[in-house]
Amino acid sequence: MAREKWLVDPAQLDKFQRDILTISVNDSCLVKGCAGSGKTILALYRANDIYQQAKAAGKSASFTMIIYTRALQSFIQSGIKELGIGPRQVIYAKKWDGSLVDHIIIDEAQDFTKTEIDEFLAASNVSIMLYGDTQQQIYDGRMSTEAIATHLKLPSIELLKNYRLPKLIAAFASHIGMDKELENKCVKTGFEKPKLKKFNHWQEEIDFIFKEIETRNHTDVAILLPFNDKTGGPYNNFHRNIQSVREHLDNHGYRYEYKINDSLVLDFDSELPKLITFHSSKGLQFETVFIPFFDYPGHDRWFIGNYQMPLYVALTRTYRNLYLTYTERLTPFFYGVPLSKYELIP
Amino acid sequence: MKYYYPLCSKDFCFENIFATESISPPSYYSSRQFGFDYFYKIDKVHNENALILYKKPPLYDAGTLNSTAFKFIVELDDDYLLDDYVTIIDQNIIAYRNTIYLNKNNFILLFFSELEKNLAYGKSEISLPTKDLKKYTNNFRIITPDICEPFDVTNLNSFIVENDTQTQITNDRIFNFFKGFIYGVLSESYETSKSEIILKKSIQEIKNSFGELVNRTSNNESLNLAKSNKYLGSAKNSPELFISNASAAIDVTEKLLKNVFPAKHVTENELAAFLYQKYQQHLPTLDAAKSYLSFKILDDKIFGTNYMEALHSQYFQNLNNKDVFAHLNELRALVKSYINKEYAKEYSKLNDITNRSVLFKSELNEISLKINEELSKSGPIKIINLELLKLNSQLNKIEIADNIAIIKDKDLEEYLLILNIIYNNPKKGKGEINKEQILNIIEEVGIQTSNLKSGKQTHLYKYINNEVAEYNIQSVSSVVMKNFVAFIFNPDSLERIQKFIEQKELEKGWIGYSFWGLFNGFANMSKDFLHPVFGNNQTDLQDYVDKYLRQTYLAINTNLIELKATSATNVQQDTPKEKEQTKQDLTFIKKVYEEFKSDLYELTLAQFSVIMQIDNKEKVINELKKQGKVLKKDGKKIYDSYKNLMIPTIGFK
Repeated sequence: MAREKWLVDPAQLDKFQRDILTISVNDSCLVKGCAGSGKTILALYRANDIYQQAKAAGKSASFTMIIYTRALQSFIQSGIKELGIGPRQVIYAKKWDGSLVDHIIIDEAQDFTKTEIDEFLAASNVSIMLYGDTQQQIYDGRMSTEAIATHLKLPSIELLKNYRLPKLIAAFASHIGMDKELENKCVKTGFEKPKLKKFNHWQEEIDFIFKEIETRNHTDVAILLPFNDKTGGPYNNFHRNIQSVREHLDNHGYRYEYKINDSLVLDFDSELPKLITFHSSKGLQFETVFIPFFDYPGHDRWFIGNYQMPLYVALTRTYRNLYLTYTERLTPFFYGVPLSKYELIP
Repeated sequence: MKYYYPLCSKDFCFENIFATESISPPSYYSSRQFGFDYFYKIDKVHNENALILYKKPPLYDAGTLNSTAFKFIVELDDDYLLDDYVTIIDQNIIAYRNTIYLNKNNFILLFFSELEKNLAYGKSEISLPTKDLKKYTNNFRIITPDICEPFDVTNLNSFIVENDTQTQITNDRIFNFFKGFIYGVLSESYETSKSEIILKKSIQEIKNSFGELVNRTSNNESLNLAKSNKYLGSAKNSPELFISNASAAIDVTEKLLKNVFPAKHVTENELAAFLYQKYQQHLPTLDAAKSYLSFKILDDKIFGTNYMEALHSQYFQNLNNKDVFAHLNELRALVKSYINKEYAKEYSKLNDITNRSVLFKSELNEISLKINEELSKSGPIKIINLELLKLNSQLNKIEIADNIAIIKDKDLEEYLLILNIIYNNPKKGKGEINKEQILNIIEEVGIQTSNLKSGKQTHLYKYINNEVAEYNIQSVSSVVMKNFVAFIFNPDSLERIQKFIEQKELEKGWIGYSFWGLFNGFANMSKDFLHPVFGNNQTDLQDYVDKYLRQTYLAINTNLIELKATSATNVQQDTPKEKEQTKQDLTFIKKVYEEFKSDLYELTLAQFSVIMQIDNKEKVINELKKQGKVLKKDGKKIYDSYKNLMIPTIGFK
């Protein structure tokens, strides 16, 4: 994965991010932030700060960073390496043994139980720093970030901006998702609008994607699809699933990784395109995202009723390029998106 | 004489110093549109429009920043200050109304403790635009607060520094872009060889094939599916295939590495001692080990076995400091552990897939470090004659002498043409790149290099503008144009353009980097890219480049000072005829400037001069509008008036 993705370009940080970065390593705090606000990266910089403070003083760093999901742990592995943090100090929550350390850093705090939060606090000798977003809570019955701050008697800081998603993509995605304010929350303008291209056969869509990856040498790519296999959804989803696409890719010698459930591991040091379902893409980010089959049959009411949110998640995974391709009629989600919000490739 | 400039820092510790190799008056940071846009101003000792310099290290208080920031002082050599920008405040304090560019010989950073120095040094390592500090190893010192002296700074804030800030910022921008260009060209001298690129690609192939392997074997479900499902159970998806791919990638890398790390010679006595030490139970004396070895050598000779090779491999693996081949063997074993029971037993403690993956990556990381270490031993970088590259700031163009060795004839012509188009369209603002700007560059290059009626008809323009779906770089014949495409595809990331150039194995990649550097400027260049110059002990090269850049900076400044003072005195080194011509052009520019001064609002003569030398009426009018808020109709009048003055001269030519 690109080294640039992990190292800081201070020229690109705003005052709010800089304020968080300058919190002393001995102080505790809770950072609330919407999707794309860069919480995980800020958490990694906190870990790096602790590491550097200890190194400068000739001591070994005593901290643990706890990550809620294995997918996210796998995602940040290369970031850990780039920042020089020991890989074993960044732990998948289920593997944490409760060891006492000076500093504890918690990512996705909103997904932990009250008991777990208390255990983290008890395991920290000096400071605890939590990063989370109630809106992204996966499980019911967990505390909101506000409740966590109150419970732990911690000050909290909020990041209101999305630093990942370009406005040019957000302007398109907000027509499909619920958040009409998305574009205003974004900081970056972006290089170009989403691109839309029609093909005669679905296999041509996949071939185009792999040709474009080769032409531009894209190395941080996701191809996002609605279903895992041919039986996904109540009706025949035809080829719009990972299983069908894999068959085509394997027959043509294309290489890739795929993810259809939490136990499948993606490797982010590999530059192979990642084939992922809309659902599994939550929390991940890619330089280039391709969404083929943007053409669900108009009569598929079940799909319309169930896939608006997952599609919105998929559309907001990129931090640079978004390509949409289709063969039949455009998805009904597309109706009402003004022509000015995307580029049509002939 | 030395001067001292007090600073404090909150986060990235060196402020902007090592991104741009400079320090500027505080107000410059937010308006110069490159590098960091913030600066932690200490109200009591700083002034908005000038660097307030003290004759002794000052005693100062960081004010409201005190609790979170730490202080440090820059000690500056006054030989590098230009008299035109110095204002004396009192006998101990001066104001310097311009940026000071730093090199190894003109400054020292003074810290108040070893801990703060180390912390600043360490934290800066994760800042991408902060250049490698190895170049400045000798520029850090520790002082004690008791050497600092109090100064009377009560009137400092009310002191009004008259400063043509806008001109100096324009000046800094020009220098930043040109410096980026120079470091791009310099990469020619340490360009990665084809064999190194193939090696890099082979390491990436190990990562890719390992990624596939882990992905396909990471849950039982996928393995069960592989067994039960007709399609998924096909050879195309068997774990064995991915193990075999990963092992093949390791084999390829091993072969390539044999050229980087030629086999080390080990004597028979050393091997015998190793055997004796390790297998004392079977070989009770050193002589027994020696005779065993003799038999094995004979076996290899008579029966063609590989005992000795295997023994060599064991010997190196056994050393505390594992060599790359031992690390490769670890990778092999880890790959096999994904399916082979014997190997799996060996790695039983690492049953968890994440642990195995961490171990694999740490082994691979060790290999990469050893390769980098070995390749960086190649000695001093050859020095390119930079004197052949020149920024003619009066004519607003870059010039390259014909006798430059790295690029010739038609390529040079094409290269210069593209360079000057980029030079006149550098990145606007800080942060992101505007697509329209990239399209403008492609269009201008298209106009000048193709026979098409419009620059918008080139295939590259159409592809970037989404009028066509595909582009094939192989259809581009010229090496300069291929590198131009590399830049156009990756205008905002040096890491991406590097990967692109290496993946496509483009020749003369330095051309692409020089386009990138010129467009984005030095401040945007990453520490990784500049590591070969900044990170190694390349003292001669560093001194040579700094000296050359200092001369260039002085030339830009002199030009602007002279423009201000005499309005139009040409100092270029061209033929007498050209010299005369340019002189006359500048006189005309000044004449037009005086005539239309009331319409030109915010434009200085220097800015106006730069715009008027653009060889395109529409662009001149647009630039006048953009930079000086000049109405289009007035812009047209100004342009026509200038051209009317020029007619006799052109005719005379």
